[in-house]
Amino acid sequence: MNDDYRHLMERIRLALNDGARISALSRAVKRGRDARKAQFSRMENPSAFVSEIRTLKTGAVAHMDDLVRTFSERAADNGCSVHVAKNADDVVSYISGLASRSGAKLLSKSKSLTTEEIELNRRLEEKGLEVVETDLGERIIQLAGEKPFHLVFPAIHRSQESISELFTDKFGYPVPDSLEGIMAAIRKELRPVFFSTGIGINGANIAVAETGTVVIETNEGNDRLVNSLPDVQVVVVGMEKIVPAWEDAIRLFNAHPLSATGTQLTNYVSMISNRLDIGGKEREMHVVILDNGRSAMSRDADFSEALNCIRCGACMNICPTYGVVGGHTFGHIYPGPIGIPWTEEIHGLDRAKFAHLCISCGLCQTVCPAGIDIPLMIAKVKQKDVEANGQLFVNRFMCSMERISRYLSATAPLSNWVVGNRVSRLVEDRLLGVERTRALPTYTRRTFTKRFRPDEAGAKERLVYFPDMFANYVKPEIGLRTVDMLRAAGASVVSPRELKPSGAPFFLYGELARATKVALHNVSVLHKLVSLGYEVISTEPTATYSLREIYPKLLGRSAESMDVSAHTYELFEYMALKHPGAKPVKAGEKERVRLGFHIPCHQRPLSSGRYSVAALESAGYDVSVIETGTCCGMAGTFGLKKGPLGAELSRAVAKPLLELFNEHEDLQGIATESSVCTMQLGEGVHVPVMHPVELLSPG
Amino acid sequence: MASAIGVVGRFRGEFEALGGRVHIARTRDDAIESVGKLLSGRVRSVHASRGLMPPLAERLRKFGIEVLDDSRPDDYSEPGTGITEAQYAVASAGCIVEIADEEATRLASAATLLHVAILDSANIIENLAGLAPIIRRSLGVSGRKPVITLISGPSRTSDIELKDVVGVHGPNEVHVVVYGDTL
Ligand code: SF4
Ligand code: SF4
Repeated sequence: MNDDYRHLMERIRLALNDGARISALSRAVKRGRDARKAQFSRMENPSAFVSEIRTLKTGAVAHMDDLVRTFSERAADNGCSVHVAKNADDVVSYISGLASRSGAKLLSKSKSLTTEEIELNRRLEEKGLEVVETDLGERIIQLAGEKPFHLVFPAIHRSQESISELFTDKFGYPVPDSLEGIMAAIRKELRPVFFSTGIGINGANIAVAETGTVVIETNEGNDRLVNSLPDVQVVVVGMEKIVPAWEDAIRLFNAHPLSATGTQLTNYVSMISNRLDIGGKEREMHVVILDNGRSAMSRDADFSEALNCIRCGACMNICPTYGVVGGHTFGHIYPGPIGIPWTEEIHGLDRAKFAHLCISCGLCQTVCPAGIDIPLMIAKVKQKDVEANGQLFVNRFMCSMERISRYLSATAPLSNWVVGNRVSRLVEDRLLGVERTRALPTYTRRTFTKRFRPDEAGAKERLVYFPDMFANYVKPEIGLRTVDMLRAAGASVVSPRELKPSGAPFFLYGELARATKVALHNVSVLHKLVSLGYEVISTEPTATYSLREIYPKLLGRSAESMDVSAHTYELFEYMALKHPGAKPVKAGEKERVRLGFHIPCHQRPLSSGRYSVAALESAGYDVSVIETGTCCGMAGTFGLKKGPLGAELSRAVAKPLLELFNEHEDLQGIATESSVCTMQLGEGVHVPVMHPVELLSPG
Repeated sequence: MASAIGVVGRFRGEFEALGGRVHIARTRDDAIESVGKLLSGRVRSVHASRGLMPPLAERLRKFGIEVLDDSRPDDYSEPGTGITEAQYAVASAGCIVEIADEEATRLASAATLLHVAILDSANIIENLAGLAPIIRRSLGVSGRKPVITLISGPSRTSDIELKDVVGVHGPNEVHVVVYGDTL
């Protein structure tokens, strides 16, 4: 293991040991998540909203050069000085030049991640200038010498008490541990700063080419003082933030808070084209357009999409591992999911080791208002890292799980004993990195593939069943009962032996070449059947998700992959759409009626489990969907790995979800379709966890 | 005009949900009178945007309130009270639209603790999409362009343990007096 990994693991462990910080963070992200969800559920057509933002941003990024030109011309016509800065040094020398010309020593600043990106404060301070952050959260972390913990709430990891201590220490007088006390102190400290700074520096959320105007959003209103009082105003704007027209800007300044905090607008939205008059004095406005790698990024087909980010923070509010460790571990300067591609592109691969905190749950993409395919970019960052710095041994081991499963099943039940006895568990733990307190699946020699007899292609309705690993090697009953259900509905079912498991571990561990190979193989096997009129069914959400979402991405949206994707269904989705009349009935113990339902992450972009819940309910179960809105943390084989980048983090992610399930004391069982979620939930709840198929029989 | 009443009601609902206060007056004159009543006994002097000046200054004098004649940024260093005109408002978002030609106007709503705006009900638009032509028209002037600001209630933060507090660097109290025939 190299030092970067060791450092990452240390950081995770530190984060995991700080319970107070974890609960502050999880409250913050949950609030963001719930607020966004409430807003989006009120929208008539949320997916149209996302595709509008996506189209708008993609178009703007594609025409970035033209937009820079138009914006610069119009802003210059308005009387602004416009400077296109290549990199950090360029910005620093521009601003320090302004400072020495105007004699300013004290600079005030309103929240700007773009200036954080280039560590502007530190660099200006090295030149002997003093820069004061004026956003409360930013000022707190500036005084504490920290980096932002969250995009929208930079100081969310700090308690009120620690803030009052920090202020007492820095301001040199007692600041009470109360909201009022802290607010009074910050006002008292900053008011004179606003009125005595020579240069005000603002970040801009949007720049509008049409009129050469910048748009600045704040809730506190600090930007308004920073850009009205000083004689010199500098606006630093990322090159990707320029849009052509006001219609675009309006959509964005609405989308941003909707997705960030669930409000229609940020409290103050200022649209500034030039300085206004006060006291008849000539005052300057400078707009610095920052490139710093953005032009190169826009030409990189793998990463240009990252430029579509509107910095709403929704992806970090839903990311399961970010939600535990926070932005100091899950981030360099840019935190969270989108921070991974941004860091790799702007700050370099060396700084992006935290990419391995991503467990490929896919949730970030489901909430991104710009529909950015963050998980794919992250997988590519992991791939770059694996290629440059090598793969962890335990990850390599997990990537060979399919071969191992085949072998273990062929030698079961002896293999189960060999693998599972105490001595072996110790050896596996030490040598392979498999967490020894995790229950391992019990393999069966009588696999689904061995027990299944394909139908002749006689029936009109032809289906392919894709069992994936679990329903083949561990619980063939799930596969067999699924086939029964489909046959009872009148279909003929096949399940080609040459199908390989979905290959999800390859994606998870950044082995994209291998993931693509599996995708190509499975798509070509399935496409032959699809072109003969077959539909594809799976009972493992990760498999359905792979066929529907991941394979097309890996295969450059080839016609075959798109075709297979369009013909792939979840079992209960298929039954509901094609056989609405078929009514499965309750199976097994009749008294087990009160069920909790867990939605696996990979099912969220599919049906979110609504068809499965409906099937269970129609069979007479009393079902409640129980969710925190994020992941159970198992993430395939991730949770099986020993240590902080495995079981320890995985269990910390699971904790709130398990607590929520356990609070529902009346539950008699839990239904979920994912085999890995079943393992995680099974470890922490006191009722059986089953696949819905195990709870139902064909009607 | 049922729809206009609807729009005012909607604006009021949204703006008050964000912590602002809305008052209704019949005419512009009444609106200025209401401002006086609102501030009477609370403040001795106010900053105001120039467009409101002559009638405002006269009327407020009646309530013992002086309208300050500000010409420098430093005149705003003590957080006081500001009175401005909101040129428009957006009902669905609950925001007022300030179109400022002078920095003094912006400071009256930004550097103060108490901000009161008056608004013609005919200028409340339904939703954000309606802003595009307004912005375009305002910025279409030759010479110095105004600064346009959407204001959704008092200045706020939740940076400390996610607790909502109002009145950070800007006003902790924002009132809008809506007047007009369409009420
Ligand atoms: S895919 Fe899941 S784990 Fe990975 S960054 Fe996105 S939300 Fe986080
Ligand atoms: S990637 Fe998407 S969800 Fe994440 S901050 Fe950017 S726009 Fe928001």
